[in-house]
Amino acid sequence: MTAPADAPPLDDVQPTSAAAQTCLGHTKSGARCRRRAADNGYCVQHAEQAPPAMPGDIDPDELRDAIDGLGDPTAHDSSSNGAGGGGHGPLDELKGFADYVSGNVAQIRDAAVATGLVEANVVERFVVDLTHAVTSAVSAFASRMSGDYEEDDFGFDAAFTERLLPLANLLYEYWWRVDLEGVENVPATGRGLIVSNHAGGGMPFDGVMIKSAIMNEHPSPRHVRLMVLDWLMSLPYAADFMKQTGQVLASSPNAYELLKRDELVAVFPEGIKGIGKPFSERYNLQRFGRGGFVRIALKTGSPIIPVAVVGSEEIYPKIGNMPIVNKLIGAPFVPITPLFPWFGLLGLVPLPSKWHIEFCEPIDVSEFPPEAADDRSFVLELSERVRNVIQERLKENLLKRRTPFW
Amino acid sequence: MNPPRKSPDNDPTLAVTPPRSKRVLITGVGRFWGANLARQLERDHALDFVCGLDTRDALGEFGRTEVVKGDIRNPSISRLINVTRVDTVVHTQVFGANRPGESGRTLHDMNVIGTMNLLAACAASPFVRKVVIRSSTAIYGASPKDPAFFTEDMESKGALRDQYSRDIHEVETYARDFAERAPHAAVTILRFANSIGEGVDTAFTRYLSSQVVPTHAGHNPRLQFIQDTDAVDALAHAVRNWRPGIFNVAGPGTITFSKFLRMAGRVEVPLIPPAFGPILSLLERAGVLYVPSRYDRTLKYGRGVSTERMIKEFGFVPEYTTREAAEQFAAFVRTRRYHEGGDAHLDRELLEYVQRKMHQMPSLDAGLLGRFTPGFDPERVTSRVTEAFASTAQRVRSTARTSSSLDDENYDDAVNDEDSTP
Repeated sequence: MTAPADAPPLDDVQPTSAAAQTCLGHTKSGARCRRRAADNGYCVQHAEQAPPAMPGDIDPDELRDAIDGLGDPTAHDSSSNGAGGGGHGPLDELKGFADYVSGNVAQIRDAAVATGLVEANVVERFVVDLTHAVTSAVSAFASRMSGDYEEDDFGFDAAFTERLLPLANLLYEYWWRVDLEGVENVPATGRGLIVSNHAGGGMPFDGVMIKSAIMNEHPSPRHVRLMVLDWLMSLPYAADFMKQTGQVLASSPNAYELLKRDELVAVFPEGIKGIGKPFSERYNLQRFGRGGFVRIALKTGSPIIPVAVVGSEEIYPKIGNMPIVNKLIGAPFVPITPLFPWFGLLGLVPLPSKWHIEFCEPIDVSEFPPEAADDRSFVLELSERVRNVIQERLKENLLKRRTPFW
Repeated sequence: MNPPRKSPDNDPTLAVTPPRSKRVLITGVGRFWGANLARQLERDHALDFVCGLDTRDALGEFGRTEVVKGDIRNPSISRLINVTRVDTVVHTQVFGANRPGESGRTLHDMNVIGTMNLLAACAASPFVRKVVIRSSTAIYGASPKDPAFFTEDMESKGALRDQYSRDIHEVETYARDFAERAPHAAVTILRFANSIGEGVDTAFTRYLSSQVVPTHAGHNPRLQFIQDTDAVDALAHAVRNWRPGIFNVAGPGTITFSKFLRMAGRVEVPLIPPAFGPILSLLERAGVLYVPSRYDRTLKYGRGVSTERMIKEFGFVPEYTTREAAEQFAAFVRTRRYHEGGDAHLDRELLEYVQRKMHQMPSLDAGLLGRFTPGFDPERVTSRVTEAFASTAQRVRSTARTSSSLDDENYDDAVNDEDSTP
C-alpha cells in the first residue's frame, strides 16, 4: 500500500485511482461497508477506522528490513527471554540501547567520517584509549590502596601520576584536541621554570594540559610540578590528590626547594586574578603578582619558559560570581557560567574548545647574578618582559585559529 | 659579687678557639633524651664531670654521672650550677603531656618557669659557656599554608594552637634573650622532629604503634621523624662542638602517614572531622589510646623541616633519614610481640649486663691509661673500645629490645614517669 506524496485530501469523494475497491471498514452493525473506498482503502465515513498513514514516503516494509539489518537487539532479547517474562526494566532498556549503539558504532563512525567532522579511525582509537585510561586509572588507585607505592619528599607518587595520565590524555587528544608548538624549548634535564597564562573559571585544566603535553610529546618526558592555590591545598582529599600527582602549594620556599632539586616547576603568576577573570576579559593577561617567580628564577639560575595557552578561556566562560556561596565554602570565587550552576554537575563539564599550547624560547637568567633578585625594579622589568612575550604569543595564536571550537 | 666574665671581647683567645665543654649539667635525666645523653657523655673522657638533674627518678643506670633529684624551678639551681662549676648546660626537660592524667598546668610551669629559672642561673654563673636547649619543630605549627620544608628563619603560619607549642615558643624566647645578654656563651637551640625508635616511649610512638590507628579522613600528612639514637647524638654533638644558633634536627626527607601505616601493618581508620575528637576522647577515657590534642593539626596537615642547616652549619648528619627511621620503627612495631613475650627477658638481662659494662669500662680504661702513659692516644682506645661494645650491643639489639625499653617497667611504677617528644 503506497501513499503517494501528492495524495488528495481524504474528504474528496471522487475516486482518483483506477483500481478502486470497496471500503475495508465495517458499519455499526458489523457488516462490511460496500461504498467505494478512497486511496487508503476506506470510504469517507469509515476513514477513522483506517490505520494511521506512514509519514513521508517510507515504506514500512523497508523500514522493518532496515531495523532487522541493524540487528535491533531488543527484538532478540524479547524473543530469547520472552518465555521467562519481564526483561523490560529501565536497566534492560539501557542495556538494549547500549548494545544497539555498540552494534552500530561502525556505521555511525562512517557517517561522521563522511561528513568530514572527524578523521578516520578516531573512534577505534578513542575506544582503545578510553579502555586504557580506565584500566590504568583503576590500577593507579589499586596501588594506592594496597600501599605498594613510592613517593618523594613532597608526597609525589610518580607511578600513580603516570597511571592517571591516560585520563588526561583523553581530554588532551579528543576533547580539546591540543595543538602543540615548541615543546622542545622545555629543557630535557635540569631545572626550569614554566610561566603560563592562567584561565578556566576555577578548574586548573591548563596546568593539567601543560603537564600532559610535556609527558606526551617531549623527547624526554618529564613531570611538571605545578604550583597550586592555597585554598585548593587546604581541602581534604583534593589536597592529597594534588600532592600525590606532584603539585605543591604555591609559595616561594616551595618553588625554591623544587628548583634546587632540579625539577621542572610551572607557575601561574596571574593566580586567582587570571583564573577568575570574566569572559569579557579573556586572553588579557592580568598583573603578574609581584614578580616572585622572577626572583626565584634568578636565585636558582633557572631558565624561564613562557607558555601561551589558547583555548582555556572558553572552557568555562565565566559570566558572574556567587559571592554568598563563596563565603560559605571559603573559596576565592564560585563562577557562574552559561551551564553552571543551572545544569548542576553537568554544568561542570568543560566546553570542548580547540586548544593551542605554545612553549616559547626560554629566557636564560643565568647571566644575571643571584643578587639581582634583590633589585626590585630589575625583577619587575623582567617579569614584565615575560608577560609581554606571553601576551604577544597569545594574540598571534588567537588570530591564527579559525573558531574557538575547531 | 660576680667576677668579670671572659668573653671574646676582652679575651681574644676565646674568639679564636672556642672553649671545650668539660663539665656538663643535663636536665631531664628521668626521660629518654637526658638519660641517654648522660650515658653517652659519661663515656667521653674529654669531659670531667657529668651531672644529671630531674624531678623524677633517673632513667636506667649510670656510670659516673652524678644524678641529682631536683626541680629546675627552684632558685637554688643557681647555686648548684656554681657549686658544680659546670660550663655547659643541656636543657632537655621541655615536655608535653604523654599520659592522660598529666596536668597541663604543671607541665607548662615546668617548661616555661623552669627554663626561665635555669637560664637566669646560667646567666648568673661565671662558668657557663654553653647552653643547649632541646626545642621542637612544633614551634612551626601545622597548617595547610605551610611550606613543604620550614627553614629555621621561618615562623608558624598563624597562631600556635596548643599549649605545648606555645611553651616551646616561650622557651626559645628566653633562650634567645639569654643569648643576647650573655654574648660569651654559645646558645644552641635544637628543634627536634618527633623521635621514634625502639628506645623512646611517648604518646606519639604509642599512637603510631597501636593496632588500629584513627586518622583524619581526607588528610594524609607528610611526617618527619628523627631516630631516637640520632636525637641523642645531636645533643651530644652540640655539647662537643661550638655551634651557636638555631637548628632543625630531623631525618632528611619526609614520609606520608599512610605510607608509614602500610609499612608498619597498622589498620588505618579514617574519621571524619566531627567524629575525630569525640572518638579520641572516648578512647582516652577507656584507656585504650591517648593522643594529646597537640598532635591534632600535625596529623592533619603534616610538617616538614629543612635539614640543610643542620647538615651544613651544625655539621651533624643523622644516621637515619626519616624514611629509614620509619622503616626501622615499622619493623620494630610489626615484630613487637616477639620482643614482649617468651624469652625476651633473657635477652634483656644479657643486654643489661653489656650496657653496664659499656658504661663503666671505656671511660675507666681510656681515662687511666691516658692519664698515666706518656705518648698514649686515649682517643683511639676509647673509640676502639666503644666500637667493640657498640657492635656487641648492636648484635643483641637485633634480637631484643634496647636499653631504654628496660625502663618501660619504670613507667608503670610512677604515673608521671615517661618520656615526651616534641
